[in-house]
Amino acid sequence: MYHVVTIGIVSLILYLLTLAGSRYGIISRRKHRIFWNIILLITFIVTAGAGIFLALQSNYKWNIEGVEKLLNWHVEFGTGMSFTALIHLSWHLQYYYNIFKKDQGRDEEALKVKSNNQLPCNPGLLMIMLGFLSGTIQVIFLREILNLSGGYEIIAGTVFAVWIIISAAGARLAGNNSNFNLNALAWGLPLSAVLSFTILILLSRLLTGEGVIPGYYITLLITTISLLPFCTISAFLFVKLSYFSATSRKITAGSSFATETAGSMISGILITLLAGSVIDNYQLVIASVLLYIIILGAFSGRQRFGIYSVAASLMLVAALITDPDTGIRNIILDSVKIAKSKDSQYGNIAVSNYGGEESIFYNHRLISYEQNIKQREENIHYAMLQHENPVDILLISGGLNNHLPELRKYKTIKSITYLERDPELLAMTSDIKDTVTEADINVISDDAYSFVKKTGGSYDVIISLLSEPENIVSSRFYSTEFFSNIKRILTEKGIFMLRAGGASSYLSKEQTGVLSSVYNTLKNDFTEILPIKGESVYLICSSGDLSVDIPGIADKRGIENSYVNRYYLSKDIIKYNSLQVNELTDSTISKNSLNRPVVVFYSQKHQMLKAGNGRLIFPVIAGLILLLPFFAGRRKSRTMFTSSLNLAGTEIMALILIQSTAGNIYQLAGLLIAITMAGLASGSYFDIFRNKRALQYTAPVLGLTAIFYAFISSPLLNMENVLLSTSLSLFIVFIPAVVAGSYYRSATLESKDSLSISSVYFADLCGAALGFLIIASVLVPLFGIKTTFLILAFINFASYITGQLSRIAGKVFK
Amino acid sequence: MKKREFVRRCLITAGGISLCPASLTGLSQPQVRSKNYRPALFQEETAKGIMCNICPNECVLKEGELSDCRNRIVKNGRLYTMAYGNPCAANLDPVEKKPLYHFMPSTLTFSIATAGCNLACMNCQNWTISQKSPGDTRNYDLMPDAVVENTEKYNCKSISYTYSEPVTFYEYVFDSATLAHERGLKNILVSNGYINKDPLLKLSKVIDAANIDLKSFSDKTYLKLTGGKLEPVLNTIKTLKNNGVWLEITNLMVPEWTDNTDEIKDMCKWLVSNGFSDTPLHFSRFQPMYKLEQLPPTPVDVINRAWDIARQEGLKHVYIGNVPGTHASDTICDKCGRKLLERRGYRILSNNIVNGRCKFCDSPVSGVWA
Repeated sequence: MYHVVTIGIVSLILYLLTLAGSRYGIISRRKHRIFWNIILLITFIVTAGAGIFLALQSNYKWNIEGVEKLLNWHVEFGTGMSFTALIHLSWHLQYYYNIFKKDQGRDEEALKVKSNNQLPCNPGLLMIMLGFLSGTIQVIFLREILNLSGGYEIIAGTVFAVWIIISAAGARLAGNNSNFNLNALAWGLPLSAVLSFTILILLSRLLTGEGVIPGYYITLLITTISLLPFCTISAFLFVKLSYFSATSRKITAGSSFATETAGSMISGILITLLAGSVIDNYQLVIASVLLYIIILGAFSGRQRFGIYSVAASLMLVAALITDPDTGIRNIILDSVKIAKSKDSQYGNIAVSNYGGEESIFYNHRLISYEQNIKQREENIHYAMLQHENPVDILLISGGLNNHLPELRKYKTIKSITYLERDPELLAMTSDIKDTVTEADINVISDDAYSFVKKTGGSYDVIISLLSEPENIVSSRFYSTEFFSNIKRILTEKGIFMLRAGGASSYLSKEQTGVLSSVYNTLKNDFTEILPIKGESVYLICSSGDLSVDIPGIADKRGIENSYVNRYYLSKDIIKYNSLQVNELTDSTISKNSLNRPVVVFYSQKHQMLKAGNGRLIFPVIAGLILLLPFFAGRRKSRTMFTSSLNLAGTEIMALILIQSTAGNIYQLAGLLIAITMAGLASGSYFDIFRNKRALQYTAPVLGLTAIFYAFISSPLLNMENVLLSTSLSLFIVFIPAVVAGSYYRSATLESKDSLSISSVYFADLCGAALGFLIIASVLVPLFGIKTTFLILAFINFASYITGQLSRIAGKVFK
Repeated sequence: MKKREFVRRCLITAGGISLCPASLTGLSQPQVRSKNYRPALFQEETAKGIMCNICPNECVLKEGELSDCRNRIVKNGRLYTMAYGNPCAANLDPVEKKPLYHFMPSTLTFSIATAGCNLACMNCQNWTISQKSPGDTRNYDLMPDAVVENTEKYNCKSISYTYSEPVTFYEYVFDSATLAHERGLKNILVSNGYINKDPLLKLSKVIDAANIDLKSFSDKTYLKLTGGKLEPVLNTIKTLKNNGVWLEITNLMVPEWTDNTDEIKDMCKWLVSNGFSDTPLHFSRFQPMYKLEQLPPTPVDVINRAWDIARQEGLKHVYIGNVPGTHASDTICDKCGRKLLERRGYRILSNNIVNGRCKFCDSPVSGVWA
């Protein structure tokens, strides 16, 4: 065991001591530096000497007693040398900083040389197209990474964070660099988009084995490398184009931001309208890239670029009439042998044909397959056998064709309602079309939360085969509100069954957290809960009695099964396992609700364990890095940072509110993005803060808004009028967006150089990234929506107070 | 950047990290009670540290270091196991679930496992324990005498050391198995077979039956899929058989990884040529699991093809697992072709084995039947 942390802490303390000594005149500054130079020299000599000796020993196989101790010293002194070197680096940072810092005069000169003619089209149009392409690429990239690695919030937050960190670096690079060619950048942008997706596809094959889900850090690596080309170029182009517009066209940076945002808004609307229903993911990427080229070429007024436009148009037609997605999906999921791929508004549906057997994958995860006898029998009979006389059945998701033969074994059934959110999934599983003609089957395409909330039906048995509560979207099917509605539509001794996570021989602490939260939530409405360990942990709930003698009941009622029978199951083992699960459930774990989806926290911990032993160092470090503008930035950057963090947080919580009120977030998500972008665009275009004194009140205004939102969040969640609650939930992003947009305009208005613009942009991006990283994955699951809004309010007020204090301190010490 | 600013940033970072809960960063150390520590068997002092000789990983550990299996640690210059009397799983299972089809059929077995494994299979169905240390799991307090008591209490005829990897809790297995033998109970080892010869020879004296997971017949696949090697597993199979432990072999057919028919043919040929034609072979159906979630389940046709190959190559008892209702779950007499054991699920519907011989043609049937 090496003493990395101890050496680090000791070095830091020693450094602070000698630094303080030199500051207060106890020792001279020279002696302070000499001391650290000597430390560096000693550590270097020991590390290098031991290293050379060890290398020789390894090469020539010298078998010397005690040589392993030398290795120890080599590493320990090497660690000490590294920390000392970091201290030295801090003395000379300015030197390295200057290497990248270009003379401002040269920057302006370079811009003057580049005339408007060298742009492929009008800068405003280029800015719109930049926003359009960025918006599209971001949404599709996020979808694909979630497909690749699992759809939980930390991954989504990480993708946003990486996107923004690279963009921020690109913006910063643009601020420091005068050696650029706007024309080349404009034409390079679509190529970088293609390159980013090509890298994504190649790396997902190269860095993972057949069928392997990449761990968290591999996902991070794939995301970072893939996004490098597109994010760097797009951010670089944005900053330079903003500066170009500001200097040559007298267009403010805020207006440029508004124009770019308008482009993103167009892409948001188009994705809402087209993606999933009309066009598949990769088809959309190809179409967006080609559309960008067509428009730039068409408006360039130059023949050469016009030819690009015509060629791109022909390619666009080809991309739209062919099916590139199935081919690309086959490259990504080579081991699955995809026969057909289709993107719906809810995710990717892929039908595989491996070894002559058909399987259906949803967002790259297996949801049904042929010959899944065990699972389909467990899904149906554990619940059905508990009811003496099941007549009306509600089956929520999981596939009708698989389960229908099992339901047909109960002759008392008069009606089966099958609920599936995704109409494309219903269409892809073609034989459902035959079953819907049967009189007693009612197939409904609706969101389960909305359906259960509004239906007036009554059911004897309700079986939920929805996905596990691994993200905020799916956690609402395990909430107090959902279960209350389920109870409402159950008959008096009706049975409700759901799956609450995997059931191996051991339930981990994290799995137990998920199970306990769901169990405690169910206790609200059901007096009896019977856990059964099968392929999953099944929780059977009722207000009447429940029996562990499932094989006995199956025998008695003549239900012939291949797995759920006395040959595989025994009453005693079911009882033993149920008691074991009951003992594991922790009554102190909070109930899961829409306002506080605590189950997501445990579920994400479980996912993270699977993805990389639960080490969350990256999110923590990324969070700290992203906090830099708050602690180290100027007041302007700090306020920009908190405004963006506030907006990102409000946007996420608006999404949660919408999915809770309207249910179907997918169609409304695009609308929410469009409203956010509209707010940002109007805020940054119109000069709202004409009175510059009002600027300093940005943070308190946002803080008060957040407090107001905290208090209206509960009434919004419980409002009867869905239209009103959804409209209000959509609208809450507008004010923070307008304020953030306006602040961006004002903060960049007086900027004399591209470095200032990039600083504000950097703070803006960091705030948004931090918001996406922590709010959905940590704050909302742990503290709930109301408290998270209050935390946002606190951050805004903290930003205001620190700003005021530094202003006062500045006056006092002037 | 000014120095003051640098210090300020350092302090902020250090403060942030110190405020961050250890559970979030994953830097917390496993906590195991002192009574669950026992001096490890088969340890050896070398110039580079203490070597654990239990399995082919042969970890060489310095003070405070954990073994690859996460169950062994060096303290005060000695190697200790941290997995003694602290199983995280204790369940009742039919013996057929292990799977063992020729060993005391229709009996219950008391199954225990601690955390830890010496391989890192990407398809592990018990990854929540196999890839953990005993300090990370929620454990029962079950010393060997309590294991035996529970086995008797629940009317089980045997104890199974299973789920994770019993080789990694070797000392606990050995003591429990010794005690169980004294009380007339049988011991079952469900293992990946990744163990060195000497520890295996010692363990064989107290183990009655074993199911060894032969994960692939390609060294390359073994390494990529599990992080281990094929050769030690083949040696284990031979050693167990030579030492009179009843042996059954499981082969999980993972699409694109281990479902190649040529490889299956090679494996069956090796088994037959090395005297394992009487050893039951179970082909098991894969379900997407752990890190291998982007794969389809093994098609039933593919498993049936493997079953045909194994029979053609001369293996007498070949079964199919994880496919309820399969034709390949009955035990057939290889001499007269009549049904010896008619199975449905984990139950026996008819038993035509009398004193270990076929009721119809009197030929011996390999296995432990009582």
